[in-house]
Amino acid sequence: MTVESGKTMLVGAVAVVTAATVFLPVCAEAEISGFEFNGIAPVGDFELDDRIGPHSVDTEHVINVEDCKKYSGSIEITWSVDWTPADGTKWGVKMSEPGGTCSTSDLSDLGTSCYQEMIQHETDMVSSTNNKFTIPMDPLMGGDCSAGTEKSTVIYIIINEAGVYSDQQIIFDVDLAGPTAPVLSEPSEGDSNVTVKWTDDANSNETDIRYRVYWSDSKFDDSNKDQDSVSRSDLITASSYKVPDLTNEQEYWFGVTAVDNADNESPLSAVSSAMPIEAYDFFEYYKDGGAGGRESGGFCFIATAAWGSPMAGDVMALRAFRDRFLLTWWPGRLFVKAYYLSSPPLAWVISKSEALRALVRTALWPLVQVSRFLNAAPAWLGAGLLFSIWLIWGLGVSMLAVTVRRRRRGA
Amino acid sequence: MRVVRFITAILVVATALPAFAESDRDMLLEIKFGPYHPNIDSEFANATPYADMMGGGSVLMSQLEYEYEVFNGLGVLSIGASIGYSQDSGHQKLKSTMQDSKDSTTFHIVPLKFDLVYRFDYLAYRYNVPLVPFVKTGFDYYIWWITNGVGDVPKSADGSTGRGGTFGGHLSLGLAFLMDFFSPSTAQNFDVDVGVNNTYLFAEYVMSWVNDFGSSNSFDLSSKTFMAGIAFEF
Repeated sequence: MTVESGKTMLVGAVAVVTAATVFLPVCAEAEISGFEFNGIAPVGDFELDDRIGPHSVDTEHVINVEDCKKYSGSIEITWSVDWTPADGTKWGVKMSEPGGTCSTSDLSDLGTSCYQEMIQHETDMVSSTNNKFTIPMDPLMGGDCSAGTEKSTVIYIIINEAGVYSDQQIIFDVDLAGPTAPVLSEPSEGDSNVTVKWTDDANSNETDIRYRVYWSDSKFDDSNKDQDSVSRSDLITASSYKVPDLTNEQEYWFGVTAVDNADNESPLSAVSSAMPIEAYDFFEYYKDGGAGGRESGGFCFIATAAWGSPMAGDVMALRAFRDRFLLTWWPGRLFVKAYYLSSPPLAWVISKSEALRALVRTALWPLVQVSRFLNAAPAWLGAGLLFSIWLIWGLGVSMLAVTVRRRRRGA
Repeated sequence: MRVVRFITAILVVATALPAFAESDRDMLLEIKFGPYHPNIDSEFANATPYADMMGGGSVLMSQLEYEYEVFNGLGVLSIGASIGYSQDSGHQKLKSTMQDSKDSTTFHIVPLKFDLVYRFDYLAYRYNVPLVPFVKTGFDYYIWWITNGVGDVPKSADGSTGRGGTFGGHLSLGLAFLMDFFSPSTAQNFDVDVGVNNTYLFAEYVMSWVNDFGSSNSFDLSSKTFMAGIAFEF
């Protein structure tokens, strides 16, 4: 081999590599530029769950066992691109079998794990928007809702623009494998509540597993757990749940299901019964459990100090007035806040002197009577009277201020 | 004898530490922790409802205190305020048998304190002795509430609600160790970078009298306890 022929081969090799580098991305199937998914609509007498991702903003498309049983017929997918197709641009749609793939380098070859019919045969692409095709649900979901499998079915939208193929994939996660039922532990009885606990080793490989607790005052099982007489919790991620608001000394039955990330619900666990039992919490035990504690709680400082107890009738009248008329509008709330900030030291001083307490009780007497009257009056009348009092008070203060200012100017 | 030698050595090293120009200081922030056990059962001669339900041990009290230095001369005089949190839980009691229920009940406490504080840091500043004794006194207001097994605030048979506030006062005596002693250069960088003049590790003995100033109708939330923590003066 001469030096010249060697150079020629080298140049040739470089040219081949360069050409390959330049043209390879063009020959390979790229994603469709400017592709926009516009949504999924049902074709047939059924409704789509949000799980299938029917809206244009949705990026995940999930079908579970319940959907599989419900969906019949077809769905229509609409898509668009943000560019104007040139004359001669073609498009078509293929669909894989669940768990399979399709080739994206042509608009006819279906391969071995592709659904054996073109979803959309090669057709002219005449518009950038409102492109639609229809998919039969049965092959998309695999045809057997009790298959117990979780596979992805891929929709391939393929565009041939002057011999250059690009494609966009829409993936449907067809999850027909429900989780296993958790194992219920013995429920734990509380006061008006029962705590239900469970273990769930069988679903440890599942991600985002959640649980739902069922309970009723009569025995139930998986077949009738959806009856109105059976209550259910929201979905929870913990492995225990405290069922509140139960009647003490009544037997209740409890069961739990697991729910996977496709919202497939497991069969109900074995059910178990428990009976809530009346019990003292600390405050009840302190007050009523034999000890006879005197603390009565509450924050009504000055009146409590003056009357000696937060449970005194006059204090309760003032408290009711606060809750009904002061805490229901912002100036009242502001007043209450200012009162709570400033009154505790005053209350302490008052509580130390019987004479001061009597004086404050006398001073508060008109306010107590007004409170009692307004508390008993209809809300509109009470609010009206209160507003009138505020108005008169405001006018009085304003007139006083104006008078003082005039006198000062005069002086 | 060894102790005396050790203290002498510290004083010699301390007094030899180089001084540097500090940024202004007028505030102090403390984070502190300690055991807490309210004295609620002192209300009764023959009953111990708190110990029966919550047990006789102490629980962790956490507090955050802010002080503003109003006088800085022979020591520092500050006014301060702190907020904390502690909770104690136990089993409810079955009404039928007084045995422990499987339900829990919890006593929550948020102590609010208003302090007058004096820190004698003259020796630390004048002679680099890294120990600062201090005393605090002031008013307390403890906000408390009780929750039952489902997290609700309960009511007793007479209609009173299991939440309220209790007044009191406190006196604390403590000793702070000036951490700058170990690494003056680090302390200087801390001051230059974030404005923290001094960092202290401290412990204090806190005597609180929180029972609405002796009211027989109030929880006695008094305690005598140690607290320890870290303080940043800036």
